[in-house]
Amino acid sequence: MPAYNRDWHDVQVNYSLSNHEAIGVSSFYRDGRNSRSEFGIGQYNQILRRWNESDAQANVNASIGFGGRHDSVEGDGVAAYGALEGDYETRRVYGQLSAETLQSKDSVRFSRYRGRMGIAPYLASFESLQTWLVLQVDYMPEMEESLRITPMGRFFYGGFILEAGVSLEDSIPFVAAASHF
Amino acid sequence: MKFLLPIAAFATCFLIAATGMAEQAQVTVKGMVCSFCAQGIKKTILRKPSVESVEVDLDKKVVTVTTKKGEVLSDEELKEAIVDSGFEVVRIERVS
Repeated sequence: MPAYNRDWHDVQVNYSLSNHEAIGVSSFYRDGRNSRSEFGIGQYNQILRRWNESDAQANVNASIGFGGRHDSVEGDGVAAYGALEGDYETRRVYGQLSAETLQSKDSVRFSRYRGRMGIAPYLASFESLQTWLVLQVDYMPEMEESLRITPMGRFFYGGFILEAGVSLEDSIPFVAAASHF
Repeated sequence: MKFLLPIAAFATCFLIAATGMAEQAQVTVKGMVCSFCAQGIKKTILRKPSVESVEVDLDKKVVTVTTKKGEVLSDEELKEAIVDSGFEVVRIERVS
């Protein structure tokens, strides 16, 4: 799943081992206040818990990974990645909370706390375009002091997801995509 | 006239043999609220060589599986495919 905004972008490719486990590789690029960093991470993802209800689904997911980084000021080093995410979804509403962190030596680190709320303005059939209107709130303490609020559209079509929006305060674009292969 | 009855009977048997072997199963699935996620169900079931087609109805939470003529997909295989995709089976109904 690639995601992009002005000061951060990442590409993640995951292979599902089962309905609860996946392995993958990730590349993260961060353009911070005083330096730029690139991270290459191999990671393991697991659904810790899934609740299937007749009209809803909820999940708690965790990821852990290790790899390396290159920083424009501090140079090369090892890096670790961790993430915890929870989501709840019906056909009409969607919510997500996540926390993720990249850690490496010499204080080259990055954390992101994200909350999302979304509504579906209409109900599409399985093979039709489903549109979601989503409000995303990011807190990235190592990069900016204020919250970044991004309204966006989230589009499901077949095995593809596209998300696109622009942050309210400074018009930073956000684009993310995912696909089933 | 006396030949019509055996011909009609033969034609009926032929039609049953030609079209009656395909079978449909309607699986009611718990947790199927997202079209992107339900793609996993469709792909998992379509990997089975006995399956002709898979239709997903998100409103009714039903997956309709049609097998190829003369092929059989057991309830256990269907349930395993749904569970492997991360969902739960409420019931399976056979439609011939």
